[in-house]
Amino acid sequence: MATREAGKKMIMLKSPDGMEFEVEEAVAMESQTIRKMIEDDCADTAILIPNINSKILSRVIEYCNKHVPTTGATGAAASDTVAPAALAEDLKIWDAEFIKVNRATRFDLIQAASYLNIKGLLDLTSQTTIDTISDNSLEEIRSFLSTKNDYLPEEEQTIRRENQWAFQ
Amino acid sequence: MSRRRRSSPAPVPRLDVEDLLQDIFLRLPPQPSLLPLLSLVCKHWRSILSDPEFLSRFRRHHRNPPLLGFFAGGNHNRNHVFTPVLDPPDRIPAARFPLPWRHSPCEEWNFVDCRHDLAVLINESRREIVVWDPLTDQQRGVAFPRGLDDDDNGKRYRHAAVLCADPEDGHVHGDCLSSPLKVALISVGRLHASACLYELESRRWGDIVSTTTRDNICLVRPSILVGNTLCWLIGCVILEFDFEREVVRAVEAPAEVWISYTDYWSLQLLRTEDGSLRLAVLSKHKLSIQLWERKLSYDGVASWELLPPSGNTCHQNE
Repeated sequence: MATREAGKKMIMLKSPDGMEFEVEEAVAMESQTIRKMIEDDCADTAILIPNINSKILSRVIEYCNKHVPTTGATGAAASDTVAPAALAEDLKIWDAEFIKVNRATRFDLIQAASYLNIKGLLDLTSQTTIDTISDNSLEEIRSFLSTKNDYLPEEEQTIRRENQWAFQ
Repeated sequence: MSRRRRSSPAPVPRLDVEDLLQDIFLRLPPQPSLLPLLSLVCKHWRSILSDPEFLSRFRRHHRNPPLLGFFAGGNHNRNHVFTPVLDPPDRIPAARFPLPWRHSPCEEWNFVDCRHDLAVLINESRREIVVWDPLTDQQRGVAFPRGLDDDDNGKRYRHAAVLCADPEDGHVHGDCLSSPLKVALISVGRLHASACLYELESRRWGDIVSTTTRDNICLVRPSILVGNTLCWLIGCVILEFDFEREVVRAVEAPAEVWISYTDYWSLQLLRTEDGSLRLAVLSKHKLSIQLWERKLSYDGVASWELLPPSGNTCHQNE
């Protein structure tokens, strides 16, 4: 249920494995899905986040906490007092550390970012996967994503012939 | 800040990463070789990467696709061939974009323009404009309008240009042949020029509009789009066709740049980033380029102004 703590509006997020997370409303609203629920007045009680277990949800909240635009004591945006370039650089370093997770966690984070509609997190998690599949051989990609090659050799040859230039 | 409390457990539904592949693939860099390569990972990937709906989203996501190359050819437009500009493995060979006239080698074709990934060709034998999408090899033919050049049996120079739906209306280039295209055709004779606009959606030509010109034609260059006006450089005359109002007029180059017909290649129309029309004049003797800009006075009178040398950026075409 929505409560107030130190003058900030709080909101309860609930994962399907039974954990509850009390977070600032501004942090929760980094998710466009939750923002819409709150704006549509569907968020009086705890919001159940389906599909996202507590381990992933806590990482998502950690991300949103870091990325929510913060306000200082005077109400001025943090970016007014800290140089925007330095802030962006700090976030970039933080993101790079944040995404150092195993493959399964990364995919869980992609799915969570997609469901909760958190563009920054979806960009970060997807881009890391894209970097992996852009820079590796077909075999490495298959092994990374646990995908099996289901082409017959002649089918593969046909596809290679269709766009021969791309395989040079 | 967050704090945890335990409440009653609920089953966690199975996650399926496959559903997210489309969203991930959208972020692939738009290198031409990447999608064919990744199609080889497995059949499911191929089905996503070759799905027209995905490709349309992919284009929308990237907006500015890489320049694959250009069509270049001789003066008489029959020798045009695709010239790739990217390095391997993204270097697409010319054979991938065979020109439509391979099906009718004896006919008289001219390659006249390229805009928004579409090429415009004129088949003089059939009196037809062909809009060709090199990526898909699809084409749309449009017969010349009835009554064009009926009153003039002399030599005519015909040129055409294609106009896509407005990007501001949500159109993304890439599947332009199925969007509401417009095709502008000009026909230039010794003493007058005509222009006409065709809308593919309604399959109708507008009225043929005409203007007088000087007897100085030797070649017609591809058009420049400035606002709602297509501008063709014809010798030392600029033919301006306002396709919104369907009005055509001939504008002479500044008197100072009136040069002999053998030097017409030293003229070039340009469009500035702020949408002004310029004329660049290469002087072989001084090894310099003069820039003239078309100015409109508050009461609509147009004039040319010689610009001092500057670093302003101009676009020769789309």
